[in-house]
Amino acid sequence: MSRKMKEKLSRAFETYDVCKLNNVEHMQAVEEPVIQLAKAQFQKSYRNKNKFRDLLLCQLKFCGIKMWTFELLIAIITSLILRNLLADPYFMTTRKLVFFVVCFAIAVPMMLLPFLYRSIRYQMFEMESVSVFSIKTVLFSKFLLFFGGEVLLVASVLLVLWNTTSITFAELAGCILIPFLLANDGYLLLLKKIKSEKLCQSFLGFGIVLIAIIVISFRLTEQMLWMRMTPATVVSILGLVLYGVYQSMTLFKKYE
Amino acid sequence: MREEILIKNLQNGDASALDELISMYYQEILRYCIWHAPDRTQAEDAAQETFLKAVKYLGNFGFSGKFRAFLYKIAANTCIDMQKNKWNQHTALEDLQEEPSYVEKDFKNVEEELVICSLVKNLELKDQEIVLLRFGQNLKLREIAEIVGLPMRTVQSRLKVSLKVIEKEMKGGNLR
Amino acid sequence: MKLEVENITKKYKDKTAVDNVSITFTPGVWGLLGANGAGKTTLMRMIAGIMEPTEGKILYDGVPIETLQGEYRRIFGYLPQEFGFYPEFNVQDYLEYMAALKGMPKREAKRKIDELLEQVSLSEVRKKKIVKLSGGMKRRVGIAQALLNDPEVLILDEPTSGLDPGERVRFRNLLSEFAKDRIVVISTHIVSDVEYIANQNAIMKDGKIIENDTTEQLVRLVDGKIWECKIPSSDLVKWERALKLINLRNEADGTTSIRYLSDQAETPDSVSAVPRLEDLYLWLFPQEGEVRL
Repeated sequence: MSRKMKEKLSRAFETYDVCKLNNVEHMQAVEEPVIQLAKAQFQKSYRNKNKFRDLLLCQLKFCGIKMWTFELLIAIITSLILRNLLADPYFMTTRKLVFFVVCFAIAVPMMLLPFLYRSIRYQMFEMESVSVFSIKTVLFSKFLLFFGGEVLLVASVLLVLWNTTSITFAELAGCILIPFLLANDGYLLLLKKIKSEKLCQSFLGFGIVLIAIIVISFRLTEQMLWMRMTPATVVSILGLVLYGVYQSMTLFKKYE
Repeated sequence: MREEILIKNLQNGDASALDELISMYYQEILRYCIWHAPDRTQAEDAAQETFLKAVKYLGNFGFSGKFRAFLYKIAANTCIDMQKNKWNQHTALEDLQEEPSYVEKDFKNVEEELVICSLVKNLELKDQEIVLLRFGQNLKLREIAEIVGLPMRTVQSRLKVSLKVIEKEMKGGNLR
Repeated sequence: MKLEVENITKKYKDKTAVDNVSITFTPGVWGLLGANGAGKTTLMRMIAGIMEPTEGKILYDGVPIETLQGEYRRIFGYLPQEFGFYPEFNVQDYLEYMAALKGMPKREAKRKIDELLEQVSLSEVRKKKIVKLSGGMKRRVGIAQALLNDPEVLILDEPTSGLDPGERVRFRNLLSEFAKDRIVVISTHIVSDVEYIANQNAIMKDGKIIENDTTEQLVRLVDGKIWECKIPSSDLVKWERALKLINLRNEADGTTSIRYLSDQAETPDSVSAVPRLEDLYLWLFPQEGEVRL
């Protein structure tokens, strides 16, 4: 349709309104009583509502403590195992170590799965779905709490490795952070896009696919590209962090 | 931005935010209701009902622009509801008053424009909505898509088709 | 205040669970009756907003529930047929957790929880782990949870399964009181649960609503089809096979009083009885018949 016709169409709507209204000025006068009525309605129906941080606190009290205890346990066990393994010269090759670290970085976020699955297994899922917060927000609050523990877990392992091997901190950070952030960002994306009933399967699938990619890439490459703290790795790490923050913001705001 | 602050205040219990918030949207919602209602009084009723419901069910709006879509969705459903119950007759277009003092154009133009409106009214309901929201209310396609609950691409193509239909009728008649 | 279900359909690959159901719920107690697999639970889940319909929409107060989203769930109470809880929860914990999910501030929640525990007589066991409670008590916890946020719309799916007769009566009274100015929908196949408290009943079969009317109007459908008589107890087996028995009671004098369904009197001394909702149910769903002693 030509622009002229479109303009005609817009004007047509205006004319229609004017004709129906008869008295354009009167429009403002009608506004005021509506505002007063709306205020009265508001006073009647306003209730103090919980905000996201209240949801987070509630999740912390009832689920978070369990999660963090679990993660602490894993941290201790992994550190102990590592210390033992690092004493073994077979395992001490850098390549094997890096492979272990990368796989570990991906496996850690997968540990969220049992906690998500709990909700389904104990048939709490339906009840949690009828929350004022959307089920996605509820799941996100669990994810966020778990992530806090993950960071500490990964940091503790990183420290153990840094102390006991000759690999520099920067190199270790490089090979842990990218897969770790990649896995978490992937989960956030799935959380946002996938239907909540299919979430557990998709998380599992994603984790397996990621590990498969790592295994294959290790088979194929001789270079340990993971290890180098090049500008590319720094940029990718920053990018992944920002992406993760962005996704979190949209999930957190997506109350509904 | 201003709207976001107002809504935030409102969600925290500050009723005075309504003064500005409703002022921002009243005219546009009233105009929307005018299209659907048989007369002015009932349009005002529908608009009032819309705002009361919006205030009652005010949720959490993360990003700006969502509030507008929310209002329109409620307005749309309020009009549908009223259609089911109260509104019996549609005012015939010929019955509309044409006050010369407010219509600063010649009679022929007004008549022509009202015919265009009747062409729009002949469209299927959903297409009518889309044309109304785009040309009567000047909303963006994305907002329209959210309000009518269709993907943006569908809205775009339906709009194109509707405009072609209207154009054909406009050219086919004595209008130029 | 109304809850409109418009042309709701839920199709799966191999079957249609809910087939073009339209019904408008108004304040009061509604019974949603039907056999297992009739589509009641699916319908309720769609009303609760946790399952998306294939077609159709649901409106509360004239606004689609997808538009209301969280606000709808704020005024909504739901008790599914099978509800669970994390094993570490005690009664108090569970209710606090659910209250937080329902957006209730802590203070308000505490007050309400105390009040509800009194009403469902669970105050003494509030610190007990839910897994350790009896079936009836668990169910009462579920009912308390559904009432936490003082919902405008309350949906209960088979709420009385596992409750003993005394608890059932208490439950009925609780609901009757609660349902003033509120919409309460009880889905059940235990007709006696709703018979005395439901103003209106909708009956579902194979995903469709086949009847929807007040209790009085519905029972008229079986007017003149309900008979009562006495038969010698020794003939019971013969009559059981021949008739659709609704109820029977062994008397002391070697006879059995029976209540049965038929278009005409099957014995000379049969007396026409006033029909009840239960009779209608058995007439509509003969295979669900269960002879009560």
